[in-house]
Amino acid sequence: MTKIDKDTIKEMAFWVRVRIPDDEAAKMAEEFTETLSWIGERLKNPEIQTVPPMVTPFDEQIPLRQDIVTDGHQVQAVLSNAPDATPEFFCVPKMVE
Amino acid sequence: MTDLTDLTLSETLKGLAEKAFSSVEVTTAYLKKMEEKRHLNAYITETPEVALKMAEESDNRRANGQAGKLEGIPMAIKDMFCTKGIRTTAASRILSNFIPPFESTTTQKLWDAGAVCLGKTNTDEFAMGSSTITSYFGVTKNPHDETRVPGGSSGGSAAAVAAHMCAGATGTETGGSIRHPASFCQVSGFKPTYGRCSRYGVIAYASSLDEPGVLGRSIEDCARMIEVMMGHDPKDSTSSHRDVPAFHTMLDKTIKGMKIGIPKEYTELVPDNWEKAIQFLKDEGAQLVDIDMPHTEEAGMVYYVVSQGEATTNLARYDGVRYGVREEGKTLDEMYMNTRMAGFGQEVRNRMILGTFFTSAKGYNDYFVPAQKMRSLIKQDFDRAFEKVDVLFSPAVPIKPFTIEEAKHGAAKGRFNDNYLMPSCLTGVPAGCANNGLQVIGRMWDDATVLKVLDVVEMMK
Repeated sequence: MTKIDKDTIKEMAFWVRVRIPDDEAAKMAEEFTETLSWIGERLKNPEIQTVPPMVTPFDEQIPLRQDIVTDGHQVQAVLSNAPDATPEFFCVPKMVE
Repeated sequence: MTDLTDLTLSETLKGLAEKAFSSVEVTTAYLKKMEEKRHLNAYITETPEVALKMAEESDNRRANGQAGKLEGIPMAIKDMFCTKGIRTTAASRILSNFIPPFESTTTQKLWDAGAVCLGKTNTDEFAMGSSTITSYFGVTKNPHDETRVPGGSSGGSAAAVAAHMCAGATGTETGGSIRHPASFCQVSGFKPTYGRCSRYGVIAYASSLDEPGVLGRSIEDCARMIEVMMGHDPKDSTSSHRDVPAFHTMLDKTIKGMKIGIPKEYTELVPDNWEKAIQFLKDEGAQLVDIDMPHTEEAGMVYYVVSQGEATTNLARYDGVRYGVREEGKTLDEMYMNTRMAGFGQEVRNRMILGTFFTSAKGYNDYFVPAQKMRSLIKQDFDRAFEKVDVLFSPAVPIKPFTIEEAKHGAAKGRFNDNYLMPSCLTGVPAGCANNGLQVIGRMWDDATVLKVLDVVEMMK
């Protein structure tokens, strides 16, 4: 059985770059452990060993195309919603002193 | 003069063609209705100036003999569809200032067919929910009882259709988000086969499940809108090359001799009109067949795992750098953290955290892939059913809309809220909800038969 503790929840929160207070993380860990136990029971069904995983409902051939730019040279459009930008670049907080 | 907003989309098209009124007149009537009913909070953003300009252009085209299939029809667009130059928020604070520099393929097709944009409708944040209570812009009220939710996530669109604040609307489904509010607001809703409508420009929640669709006052109205939105798009690799029939011409009002399956797993709880509906189908000459769909019960679990895993991946892009709201921080990581804490609501944050587990090495092998295998078994249920019958018939949502207060206390997590809706999202088959809350599900790509049967179901008095 998979047991999820508070620290695991906090680590996962960090991976998706959000914060979660200790008490909420503890509550989520408890609830998620229970949910995983329920899911685990459902997935014990031996039938699942007889089929492949279904990744998409799309049942046609997914096309390939040349790896070339088809809509480039739109710097202004790309930057138009940036919270902070120079005429050609996105700006982020200073990373190297 | 009749209130132009009382006409269905199909009747409006007829009136426009006969020059009984202009698109500017009908658009003006809808804008007035939107003002009167603004307290319902169906729209996040109203676009009256855009609407009147589009209506005027539409009238000019019609005068020049260039009328498209939806020429002059005022429509509402769920705020999950990117609209060029019009704010698109996904009902999230993180996108509350986002003005897309591009148009989604499906909305572009609507405008190319002559439709007029009235505005952008409310939804649960990133379409995650079934009540609109998670919207950053506040809950939408159900027009039939304002103490109740409209359902969701396309609750703004459903309320706008029900309150005659638009002639028709777009919606999206990931786990039932068109049919659920359609049922709660007593309007029609249709989600086509996965791959019929391009997802390009639709804000992503769970990509293997997300589907654009429509809500209208009748299935005929839905058919007219959806046939315009469908078709191949090179910008979406899961978009089909299949021809798109003129569905609205195929609604021949008969189901005589058709085999209609009743899955027993979908009748555990039924609404008041269920027995009457069964009798109606028999009276119309359909042959009813009992069907077993043994893996139905697993759909909620599979949806939980797959949708959260995919959502985590899709929502990683909101970083406060390229678009959306930014909250400053001393370091890059601190800025990301501050931005995402301030930008996402709690439901979205929770789904991302848990989704991370399902895409981690352990979660992936022990849960995500096995859940995808269970998804195959659910699909096999449908494949077997459609060897015996033409379509499946059931209630869409067998419960009545819950109150806004009940929604805040988790009413949407109840088992009968969406368990008749999720299996068809996981498998991509076409499905719709008639304006009397009854559901029809069909074979992959056989959208035409689903619409045809739903249209007959709406004849039931």
